[in-house]
Amino acid sequence: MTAVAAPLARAQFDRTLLLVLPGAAFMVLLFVYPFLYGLALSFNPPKGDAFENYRHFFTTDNLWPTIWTTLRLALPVTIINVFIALPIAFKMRVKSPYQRAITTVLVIPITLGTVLIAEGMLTYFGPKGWLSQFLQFFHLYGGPIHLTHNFTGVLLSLVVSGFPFAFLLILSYITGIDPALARAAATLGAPPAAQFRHIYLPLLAPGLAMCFCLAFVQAFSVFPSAVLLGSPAGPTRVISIAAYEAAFEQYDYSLASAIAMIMGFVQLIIVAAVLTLRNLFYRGPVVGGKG
Amino acid sequence: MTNDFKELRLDRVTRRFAGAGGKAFNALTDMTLTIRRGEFIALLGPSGCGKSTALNCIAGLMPLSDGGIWLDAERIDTLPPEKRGFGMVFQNYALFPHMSVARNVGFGLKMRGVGAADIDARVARALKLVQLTGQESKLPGQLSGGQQQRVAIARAIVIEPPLILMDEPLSNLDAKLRLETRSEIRRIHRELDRTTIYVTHDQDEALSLADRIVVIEDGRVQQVAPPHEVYAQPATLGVARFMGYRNVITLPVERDEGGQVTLAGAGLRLTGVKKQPIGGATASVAIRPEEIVVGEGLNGTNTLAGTVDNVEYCGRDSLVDFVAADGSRLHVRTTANVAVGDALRVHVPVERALVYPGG
Repeated sequence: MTAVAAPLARAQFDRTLLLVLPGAAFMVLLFVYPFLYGLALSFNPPKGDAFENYRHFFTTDNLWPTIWTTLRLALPVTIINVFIALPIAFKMRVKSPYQRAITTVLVIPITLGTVLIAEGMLTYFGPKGWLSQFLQFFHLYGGPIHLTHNFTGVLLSLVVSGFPFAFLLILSYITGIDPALARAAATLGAPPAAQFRHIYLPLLAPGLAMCFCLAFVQAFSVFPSAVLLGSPAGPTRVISIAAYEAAFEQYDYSLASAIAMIMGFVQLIIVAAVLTLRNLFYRGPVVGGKG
Repeated sequence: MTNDFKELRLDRVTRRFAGAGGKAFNALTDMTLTIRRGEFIALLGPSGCGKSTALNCIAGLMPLSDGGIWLDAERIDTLPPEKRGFGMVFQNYALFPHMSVARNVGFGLKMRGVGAADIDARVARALKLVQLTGQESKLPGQLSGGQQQRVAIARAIVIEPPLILMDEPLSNLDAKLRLETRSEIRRIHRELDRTTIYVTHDQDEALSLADRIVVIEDGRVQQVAPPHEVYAQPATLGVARFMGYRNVITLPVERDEGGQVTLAGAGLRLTGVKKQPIGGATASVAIRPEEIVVGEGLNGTNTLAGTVDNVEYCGRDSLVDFVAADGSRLHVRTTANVAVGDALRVHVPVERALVYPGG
């Protein structure tokens, strides 16, 4: 590297820029290249023209409906997660002796991972599981419960694993809002509900949109719990299962790549729509003046 | 919500906080005070003295630990802030960043269910009062600090509150703007003809604005008096120190007779006016730098000989560090032309040397 040794005549090269290199290399090698490779592969089917895979996907009866199956699962899960997390995070915004304990309990599922959660849920929610036994023991509900190996099972597991992310994200947004704003609203005659509606909600909206996007992307790419807790042949045959089958049962990597591309595209549409909505809201600093 | 009142009465208002190691400490102890309608009251004290705590208790933003607050015959310390209807101006303004100036100012009216046309008219009137007409559609972030402050004031007064609370409203402004906004606050108080409670740590602000000053130290009210009295006759040594009596000398008591006390020791003899009963063998005399006269006193009383140790030129006068023969140091403000090392005789008028117990 003789160039570096040469005297720097004019503008100094900002060497902190080198810190970007490892991250950039990582992204190019492990994301950009595989993505472009998959994109190219998806237009390169073993037979037929370049669009054969896409034509096949949208005309095959066990492929294109997987988009709806996945959306039907991911959208409710996202909405549930964001809207359960919001009130809890709102309550947790003020420091209290219980705050740390409650936050810890709520965040524990993050440490478990989807497969462990699914295994646990199979035992807990299963026909002979603890929940069923508990309900029967106390004569609360005698009949069999069907919470696993169906749509509900996957939905529940996605709520369990997705909630901590939504909660932590919203909590960080809420604690960033200057509490003096709500107090100012109170002195102006706003009861707590109005403080939430007029101050917290509008200032949180961009954060909620961001949280929605992240939670949605996570739920949309569901795979392990759809297989373990759902009925992967029927109601929870999500798009990632279709991609998996194409790749590892039919060994059609080209079709699998096309399905992955479609999956990414659907996510992109939803995220773009939500982020467009986000632009309608105020997105400046969330403090009320100098402070 | 009351539209007006005759008297706001604080009765032994106390607020405790959990301190380090779970030990509770009193931020405010037994504050008893009656504020009459139309008064401009300044709560004055060093930072951390409990003055903001008192204001938050009155506003309803902080529950009391003990005591009560009464508005005429109604007990209000149990009401949430939104039911009290007081206007409050916050130190960091607390403007709603996502609302335009007009919506910020109109917020309190909207919460009261005032009609849209009426809101517009009253917002326009309030903005005119704080001289911000034409800025209605801007967001707070687009305004200067001084303008934001005036929006905060407009927002607090537009609801025509019986009581306006201000928490160090000028502390974030630069010196020039602070003076301008100060006179504006006084003018608005006069025009609205309402009651104002103003928290500050700045003596000048309190002296220039208030009808009565409440000096608070360590959570306790030290003195409640009109500005000229707090300035000239501080009730305690703490208040004196805070009000600019920079020279505090502790000496043995020689004579304590009538209203006058003579302190003497180490070649220094000073006679002053007794402000509090002197209990112990030593006492402290407090003197303002600007009330020390360069020259000889009548019959030589309270005259000290010494040298000039340091001179800070301040424009219309100089701040001189004077060291007496015994080594005690006095800050003296004088227009006389002196230089470091000069021999100097200074004189403390007896009625301006205030003597307090202890030190």
